[in-house]
Amino acid sequence: MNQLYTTPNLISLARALLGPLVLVLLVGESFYALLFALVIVGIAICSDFFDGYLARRQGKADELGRYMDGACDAIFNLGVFLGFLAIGWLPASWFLAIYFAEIIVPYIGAFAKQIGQPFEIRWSAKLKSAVHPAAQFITLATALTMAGQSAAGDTMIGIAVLGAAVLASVACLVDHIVLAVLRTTRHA
Amino acid sequence: MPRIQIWTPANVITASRILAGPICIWWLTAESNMLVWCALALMLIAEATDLVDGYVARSSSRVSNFGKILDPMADSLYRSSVFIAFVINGWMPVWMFAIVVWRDLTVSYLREIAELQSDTLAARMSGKLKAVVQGVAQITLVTMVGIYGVGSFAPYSVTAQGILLIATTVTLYSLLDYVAGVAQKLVRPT
Repeated sequence: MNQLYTTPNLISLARALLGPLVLVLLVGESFYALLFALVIVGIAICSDFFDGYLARRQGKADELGRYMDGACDAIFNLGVFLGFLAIGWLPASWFLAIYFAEIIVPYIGAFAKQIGQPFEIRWSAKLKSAVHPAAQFITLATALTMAGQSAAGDTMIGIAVLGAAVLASVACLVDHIVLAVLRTTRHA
Repeated sequence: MPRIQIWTPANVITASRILAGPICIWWLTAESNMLVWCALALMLIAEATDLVDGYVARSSSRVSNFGKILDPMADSLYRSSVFIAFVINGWMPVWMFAIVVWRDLTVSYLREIAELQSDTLAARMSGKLKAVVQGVAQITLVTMVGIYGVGSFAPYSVTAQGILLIATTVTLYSLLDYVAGVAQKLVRPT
């Protein structure tokens, strides 16, 4: 049976709760607020590795933990991207692409389960979960290096890493849609 | 196994609501009063499709699992699109939009988690209430913008912010209600 209150799941939940905190810090836009936001993003990245490691070590790696990890990652990541949107580092259309992918993919997963064709973890989901935190960390680090002289979203580094985050989301969405179509066709 | 019906009339109506979202963003952010009225007309049509698709599915006896998944997803994508247009225009604070985003994202994952228990996440009363309140709030706000004019609209007036605050509060309540509902099922011994 899937267990809800395991240590790895609680670590994942704590990460989700850090999302609103990063959003508040980013809107503050001071040097120290950005520095604190960078530290929290770093902690979130570490916790994402740690909860998976702990779950496997304790023999508590289950389906529920897998979905909670994905959900908490998405909640945290959207908190950071919302912050970038609020301070003008991320164009609204880019945010919308990331958000649409985050919303649609779990619905596709639920549908795949309903037709008895559940998805395994896809390469595109792994790519996205690696690219998003890296993009956030590099964007914040770039902003701190420039000491707020220019918006990170306007620099080549900012545009490149945030663009990579958007592309990773789009790739994940397209991959899941294609897989769902193939599975639906096979099922029919 | 029964054949999966994707392109039923009801599902096509539902899918059209997703397309209405980006068009609303375009029209609402164009800083044109005429396009605000066009967006309002489109929003009214989109809200009507939310009522019509379920009726069409039931009356043609073509209620499908795919439709049950597509309907809440289309709602989320459409309403979030309108709200992001509000954020771009400075009519809505980001923290209110964040609650909308987190609620919809959490419910989409709860749907997957509920499937783990071989249980489809049923629509809860709080979800329906949220849909009605958000729809009314969006239409009221855009009507106010149309009446006052894009340039003269005061987004931080008590009325405008009060309407959005009510919608945000109901959204937050719906988030907590869905989380509590699924958590109860998960901790209940089988």
